[in-house]
Amino acid sequence: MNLDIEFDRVSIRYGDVEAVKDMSFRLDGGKIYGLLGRNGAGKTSLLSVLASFREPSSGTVKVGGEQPFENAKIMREVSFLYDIDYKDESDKVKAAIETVAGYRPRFDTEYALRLARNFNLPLDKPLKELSKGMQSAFNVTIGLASRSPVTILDEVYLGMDAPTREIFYRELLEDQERHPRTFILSTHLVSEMDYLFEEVIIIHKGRFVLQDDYESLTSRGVSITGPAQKVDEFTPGLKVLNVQQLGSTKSAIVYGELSEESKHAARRAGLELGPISLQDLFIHITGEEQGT
Amino acid sequence: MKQPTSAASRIMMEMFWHQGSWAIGYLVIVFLLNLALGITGSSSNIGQDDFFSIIYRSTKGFMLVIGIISSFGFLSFYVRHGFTRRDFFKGAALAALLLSIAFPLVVGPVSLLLSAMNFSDTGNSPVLQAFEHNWFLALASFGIQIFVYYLMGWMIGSGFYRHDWIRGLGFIAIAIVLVGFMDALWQFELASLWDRWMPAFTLDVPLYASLAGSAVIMVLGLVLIRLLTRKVTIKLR
Repeated sequence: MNLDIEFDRVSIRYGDVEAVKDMSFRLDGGKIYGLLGRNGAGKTSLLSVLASFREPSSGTVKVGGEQPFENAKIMREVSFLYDIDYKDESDKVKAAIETVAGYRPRFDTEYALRLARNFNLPLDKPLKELSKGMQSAFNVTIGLASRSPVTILDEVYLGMDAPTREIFYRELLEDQERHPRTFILSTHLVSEMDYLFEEVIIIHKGRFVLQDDYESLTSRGVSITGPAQKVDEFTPGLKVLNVQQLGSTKSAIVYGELSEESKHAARRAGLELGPISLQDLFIHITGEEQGT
Repeated sequence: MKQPTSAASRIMMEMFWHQGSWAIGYLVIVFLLNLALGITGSSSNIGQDDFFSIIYRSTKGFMLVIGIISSFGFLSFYVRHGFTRRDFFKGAALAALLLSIAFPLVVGPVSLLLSAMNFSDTGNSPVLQAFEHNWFLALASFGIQIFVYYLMGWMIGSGFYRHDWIRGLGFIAIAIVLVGFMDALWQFELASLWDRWMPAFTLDVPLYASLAGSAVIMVLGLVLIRLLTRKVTIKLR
């Protein structure tokens, strides 16, 4: 079951503050999306609307062509995992898994228990006694084993150590292979998680910035390095995201595909062309000192 | 794929089970306290009162508190797991109703049993005397009142969950007025709870008017709770 998601001119206001401004984009079902934005960009607000935790102040959200808010049919198919506070949760891990299994129509309990073992989660320990990283591993376990057609993982790795995060990424990819659904991963760890994303959405200060598939996005970013004068001669007309200069050598990060002709011209001028990472692109797109 | 059972009835059963276990703990504690104070010959009211009278009064506080707790804890939990606010409202209201029926059904026989075993003097129970030793009426009044107290707790909790603390206080004021009115309908209870904070009044009304008045308060409470929670934003915590 693949559910397409559509945000149409969605705004979310908290009193006088507009956290999300007039955002429109569409996510086709069955892919892993990376939602990138700096702190306060509006990621969690946007995701809470999708999970029916709140209504948008204006605009509409549709999941599988239907409004999700208070729609039982859609709400049970959308899982939203975030940094959940378990300080009062005395249920043991195994009991908590079995409880959720009763709520989510596609939940795979065996898979959940296997994941819990992989994450070294103690099944007989109350959730409130787990460490931060273990609680995050529990959230990931629930998120993956629910097999919800729309699964939102909002910074779910908090407190996880590097090996545990690696298990999370591997399990995510493997289970997506077996049971394709829509994952939306909101993260700050761009460089570590970028290989998971099929498509990337970048938002900044409550506004939609861009949506593109990972390959095209990174292939559209090019770093041009060489003598400052040559770089300056080459870049007019291109969308320059960032420029750095060290002595007489300048490096410009350009967003937009270069034609074969331009690439030849650059090389003839002694300029070096290189790829840029999603993280670089993200930093430059959402950085305060953007180029022009 | 598993077929989902009725969401509201699932919530009802789970909440009844959960709150029922709290209720059993509470009853055991009150019983032991009653026993201890009775044995030590305490001169306090608790020591002198019978088990039924103590339960009749203190369960209102218990229901108020679990109503407040349940309003936000359970709501966040169920919406997070894909249930609608509408199903939560139905399920939680039915669970509270079940609990309000279960309490008298347990407390009545236990009181009689304790009386028979000479642990408690239910024959001289002030509450039972007020109902002219009509057990059915006493237990029905008990069930109705604790249900209203639960609703008031739920309404206050929902008011604080949805709004800032100033408007939250407003819901406490509404609850005090509604509870005061209900206690007045059941005549003798008001003085014991509220006379320190508000002028006591009693309404000399026939039984059917007490029942009808209580029903109006219940409906009012339920409507207010539904309006507060119908579109409430679930807090991320």
